[in-house]
This record gives sequence, C-alpha cells and structure tokens, in this order.
Amino acid sequence: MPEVLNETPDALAVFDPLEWASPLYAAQERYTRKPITPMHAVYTENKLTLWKTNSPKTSTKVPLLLIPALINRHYILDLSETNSLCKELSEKGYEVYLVDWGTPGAEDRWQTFAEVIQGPIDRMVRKITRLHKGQAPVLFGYCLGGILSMIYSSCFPERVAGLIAMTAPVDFSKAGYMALWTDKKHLDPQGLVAAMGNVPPELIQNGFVSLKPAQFLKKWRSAWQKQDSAAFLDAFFTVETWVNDNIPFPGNTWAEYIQWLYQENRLYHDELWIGAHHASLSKISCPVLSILAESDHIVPPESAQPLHDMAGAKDKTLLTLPGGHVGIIASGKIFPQLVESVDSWLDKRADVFTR
Amino acid sequence: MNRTPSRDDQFDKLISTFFDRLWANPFYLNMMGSNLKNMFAVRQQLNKQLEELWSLLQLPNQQMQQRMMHLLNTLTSEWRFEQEEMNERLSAMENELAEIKSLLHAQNAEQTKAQGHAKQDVKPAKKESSNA
Repeated sequence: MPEVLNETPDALAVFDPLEWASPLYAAQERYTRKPITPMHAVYTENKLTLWKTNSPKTSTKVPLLLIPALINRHYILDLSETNSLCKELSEKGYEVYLVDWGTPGAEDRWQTFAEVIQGPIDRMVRKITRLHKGQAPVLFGYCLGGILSMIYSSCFPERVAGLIAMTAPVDFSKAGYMALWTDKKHLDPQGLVAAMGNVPPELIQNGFVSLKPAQFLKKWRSAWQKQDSAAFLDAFFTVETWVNDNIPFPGNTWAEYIQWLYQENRLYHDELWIGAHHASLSKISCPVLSILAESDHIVPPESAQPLHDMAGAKDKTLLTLPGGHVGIIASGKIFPQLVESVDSWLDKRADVFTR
Repeated sequence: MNRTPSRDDQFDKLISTFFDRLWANPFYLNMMGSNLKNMFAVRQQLNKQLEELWSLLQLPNQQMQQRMMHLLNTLTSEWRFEQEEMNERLSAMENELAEIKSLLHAQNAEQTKAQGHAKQDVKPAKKESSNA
C-alpha cells in the first residue's frame, strides 16, 4: 500500500463514514502538504505576508514578485519538489518574493478593488525596490494575480521593471461560462456582498467545478486506477489539496472585480480607473510577457491574448503553452517548459531590467 | 493514432454535453438568477432586522464594527509602512551625514596640518631676514 494511503487518521476515531465509503477521498482529506522552499517573511500587514526565498547569496539579477490569485493559497507557486516556481527561479539566481494574501476576516469585506492595487501591492513593490536600493521588481502574476499585476503596471509604470502575466484575462466578454454566469441579468454582485459579506470559498470552488463537471469524475477515476503508484498519489493529493484549499474572497473587492471587469469589461474598453489613475494597458512601458494555456477553460486563451495586443510596451512576447489553467503549473511535462521560457525571457532582458 | 472511445469516455462526453447545454440555457440561467436574487433579498432583510435590534440596544451593529476594523487595519498598515520607510530614510541620511562629517574632519585635520607646516616654513625665513 502506498505510504500516502497508509497514514492513519486518528487513533480515537472508531468509525469514519468517509473512510468507509471512500478511503481514497478520505486519504486526500487527511493529506497535509509539506513546505518546499525555505522562505522568510520580509513584510507583513493586516493578514498579508510577503515571503522571500532564502537565497544563498545576494543576486545581481532583477528581483521577482510573484502574485497569486486572491482566492487561492499562495503555495500554488511553491507546490511540490518538482513543481515549485519559487524554488526553480531561486535556484536560477533570482531573489524571489511571494505574496501570501492570508485568510480575509469578516471586516475585510470592505476592502475595495482599488485599495488592493493602491495599498498592499504598491507597498510591497516599494518595499522590494527599497530593499534592492532602487531596483524595481518584475511582477509575475498568475490568474487574478496577473490582472492585478497588469493593472498596477498600467497605473504606476515607472515602479515596475517588467511584467509577466500568466493566464490573466483582459477581454472578459470571451471568458466563457464565467462571463455568462456573471452577466448583469443573472448576478447582482453588490446584492450578494450585502447579503453574505465575504464571498464564501465554496461558492467559487463550486463555480470552478461546474465549468467542467466531467473532469471532476475523470480525475477521481484516474486516481482510483493509479492508486498503487505512490508518486502519482502524492502529486494528485498535492494539487487536490491546493484546489480545495480556497479562502473567502473579500466582498467589496469581488463585487467591484465582477462589476468592473466581467460585467462592464472596463479593462478591455480602456475605461478602468483605480482611484485617480487611469489603468490603461497602453501605459505599460516595461517589457511584457503574456503566457497563455492552450486548453484553459477558466481563462480561455482568446480572453488573455489582448494584453499582448494592447500593452503600450515596445518589447512584448506572447508565449502559448499546452495544458490547462492549473496544469500549466502543476503538470510535470509543461512546468519545465514554463520555467525555461521565463528564465530565458528574463535573462535576455537583464540589461534592460537593471538599467 | 485514433483511440476508440471507451465507455468511460462516452459517459464523460454525455455529462459534458448535458451540462454545456444546461449552463448556457437562458431559461435555467434566468431561473437561477432570480432564485439567487430572492435569497439575497431574504438574507439582506434578516441582516437589517438584526441591525435594528443592535441599534435598539444602542450598540454599534456588525457592519459598523467591521467597517471600523477595516479602517483601522488600513490606517495601521499605511502608518507602519510610512514609518518604516521614514526610519530607513532617516538612518540613511544619518549615515550620509556621518560620512560627510568624517570627511570634513579629515579635511580640517589636513588643513591644520598643512597650516602647521606652513608656519614652520615661515619661521626660518624670518630668521634669515633678521640676519640679513
């Protein structure tokens, strides 16, 4: 029996219905992820922590700020021994910073979308710039983190050395079912927030599962068939743990995100304002790398591609990788391609970044 | 190479097709949308009743408390960051000032040394002139 299935749940638990009904599912529920890359906190505020990988020596390369989505745990970018973006980039000599948004409390429902950009993100960027004696960081955003990164880069272009947006939508009218479900006719975001406060993680999680219900069955069937392989189960449980480890979405941030970006498509129509700043993608002047996933069902490639067309930078690169939204970072085949591409893109522009 | 679809593949395809049609069905979407709106309205009404109860007791309601907490969090974060930044700038300026001071000190020392040498050079010249 593989080790991952062998871990006994609790000596006192005499009868666990889940264990009896589905030992595989119960083993996944019990699975605890081990931290991968050694890191230390360099900045904290409210529930947020900015982690920095423990680099052996001070690097001369540009610092990287990895920004994950607000709704998921940050460790997707430090997932496992073989699939850790933090570890790989750190080993290549970059000083890597990772944003851990923390778990929002009930009071964080009042945090607005503009506040996230002008508050924590701005402070983190300024902190890193200060730590590196005036060297601005390259922002690397994944999914919603990518949206936040590109909006920040368009509001404060002088504070960013480069932008990497991975599977980050710009044209929300092409966002598939998500665009349909969040349509004004069917969903009142302000009403939901007034009723519930923060958006419960189950709601968002169920939304993602509903996008491809067959895939849910397929992956569990595959796990059932391969349950004798410890390596497979370990990788599967790691991803599943992350997928199910969602956090509440701060209410007002979510309502404005849905209303401004999904319902009114302001970023694509160049009508997005963050406080007094016009978040126009044409204002992005740093080198831009847009990464798309070919079979992404959450952010279809056609909704993420406009960043490449609309960014005002002269140096723009479009990279399309096979795989899906999570597969791009969790797949053993695609992940090395991603790391190599990002490293070579950064390496070619080392002079531009450190100028 | 094309693989003949298995029974599982056919089952998955069937489920996908069913849900693809359901999720895009305007009747279903309208129905679910109005259900959600009604649910939110009921919950909002409940929240309002609770707030009124709190106000009857002359206590700040949940929303007021949350808002205050959020404002405090925001202000504390901004204040701490600015304070840290200011302290770092101050210490950098102090270091710079200390460097300038030590440089000035060294220059002064050199000048006094040079002046001392000059005086020593002038003294024998005076002697020479008196002899003359």
